Amino acid sequence: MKSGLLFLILLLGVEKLSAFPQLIRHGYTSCNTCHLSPRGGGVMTDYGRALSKELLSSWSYDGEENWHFGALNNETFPKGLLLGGDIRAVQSHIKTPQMTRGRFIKMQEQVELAYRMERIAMSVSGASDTTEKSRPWYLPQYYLLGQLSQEISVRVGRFLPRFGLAMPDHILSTRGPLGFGYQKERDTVEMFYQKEKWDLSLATTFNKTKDHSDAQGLYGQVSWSLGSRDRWGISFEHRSPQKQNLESYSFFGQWGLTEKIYLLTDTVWQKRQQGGGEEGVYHFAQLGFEMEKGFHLLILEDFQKNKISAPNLSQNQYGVGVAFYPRPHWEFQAFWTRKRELNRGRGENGVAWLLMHFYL
Amino acid sequence: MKNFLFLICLLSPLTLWSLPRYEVVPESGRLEFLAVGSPGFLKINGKSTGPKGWVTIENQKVSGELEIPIRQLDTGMALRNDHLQNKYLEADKFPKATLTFQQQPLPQGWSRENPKLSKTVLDGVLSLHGVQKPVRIEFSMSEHADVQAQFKIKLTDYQVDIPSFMGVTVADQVEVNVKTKL
Repeated sequence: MKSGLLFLILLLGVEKLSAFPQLIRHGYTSCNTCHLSPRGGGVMTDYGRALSKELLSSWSYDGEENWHFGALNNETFPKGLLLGGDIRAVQSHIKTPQMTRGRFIKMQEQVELAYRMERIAMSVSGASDTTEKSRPWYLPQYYLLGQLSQEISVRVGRFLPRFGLAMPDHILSTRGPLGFGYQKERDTVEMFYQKEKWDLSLATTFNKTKDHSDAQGLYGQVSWSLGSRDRWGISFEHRSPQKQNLESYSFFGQWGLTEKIYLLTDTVWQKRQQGGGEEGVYHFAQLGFEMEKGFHLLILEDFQKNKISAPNLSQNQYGVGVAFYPRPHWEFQAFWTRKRELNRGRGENGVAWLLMHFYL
Repeated sequence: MKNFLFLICLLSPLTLWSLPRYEVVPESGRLEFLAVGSPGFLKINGKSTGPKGWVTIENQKVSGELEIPIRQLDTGMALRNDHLQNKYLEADKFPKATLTFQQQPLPQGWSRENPKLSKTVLDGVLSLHGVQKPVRIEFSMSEHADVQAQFKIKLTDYQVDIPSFMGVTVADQVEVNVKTKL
């Protein structure tokens, strides 16, 4: 089989998350220690900012982790004011036997403003719509979060419900293809119940997403920790796009094998009423090794088969990469993978990308 | 005279086995502790080299003294180590934590030849941050005399302020696990 090196343009747009589930290896089994959102990602708490300096980044100076990079005194601002944002871009290069092309794409530019009081927090995000040439700004996410007790919180607004492992890379088969990617936020009411060893969330969603997909559905997730560096969970989703029932079930895991080595994985089985009843399976696994603080080697495997019954309808991608967090606010990822798309008769090609991310 | 001494030794085989003092060295063990922080129930896993000290077993009773330098405690994060060692445990004033236990009975049937022990409880005294408090220790021993011990403490019992940083507060109770070899 002839194989050439093919660089792929990433899908336009990216999920707004900048979550780091690999911090499971340091005992962070729950996202809301570092993030305002119980689902993770988005604006960080003061503690999350401290971690971006102490645990995540290779180098830093005192105060650099703040949104103002230490230029201002934190006492100047109202206590509880949180500011965040993301700019993501990708450098791509496509090379096939027929053509060679390189492109620089700015995928995401977004800001988030939040205010947290003792039991209530509110957040609003503004972002440019990268699907339109003029890139107009809109509000992809906003919510009100109420902490009813130490264990129970309720969130109301427009956001992505909890389902599976909340990876920030929406190109993974368990994210974008399943409706958890760009512009898929939906009107949601979510309840979250959290104990030391396990947690439970239930959510109901309404109306439509920005790209006009039907968003009415029901979501549930339960996750648990067996030790102090792992988290496993089961999620379900039930919705009815175009009045056709769709059910998805996810089993996911985050496992810090050691302080340096971690495994992230998610497998989703989906059943769709559409087309007389179809079933699909979607899976990814990522093994990471932090060689030095802020520098990770990664092995990725991603698989999707939209119709289990169809023999030649699958896509499999596997490869290696690096993630580099040189300083607070900065992230770089580079991957080189082999991708096999049986349904398109493309055989196996090499696919690579370089992702650049600035988070405020 | 020589024959007399030789006879005494023959008649007292048990005295040969009245155990000497075991020196416990840090390299042969490990200490781990687990604290939980909120919000998010984050798990703070700390570790240290094993304890240093001694243990004696005589007439089916065990005594000993084990200590850990506070500055060896490692939570995986430099800033957190600094806070733990200097701000909360005040290592300059109280440089070590010491666990002592005196004449604690071992289960019937225990012997040096067959040292294996399943969960056994003994009472000791932990000296931490300048305060001494009794602790109940659960321990087990393998057939190779590998010891695993665990106990729980409350920080406030030792006049340690509850650690808090950037809105995350550590729970009062901490679990301690010690592994060593006799």
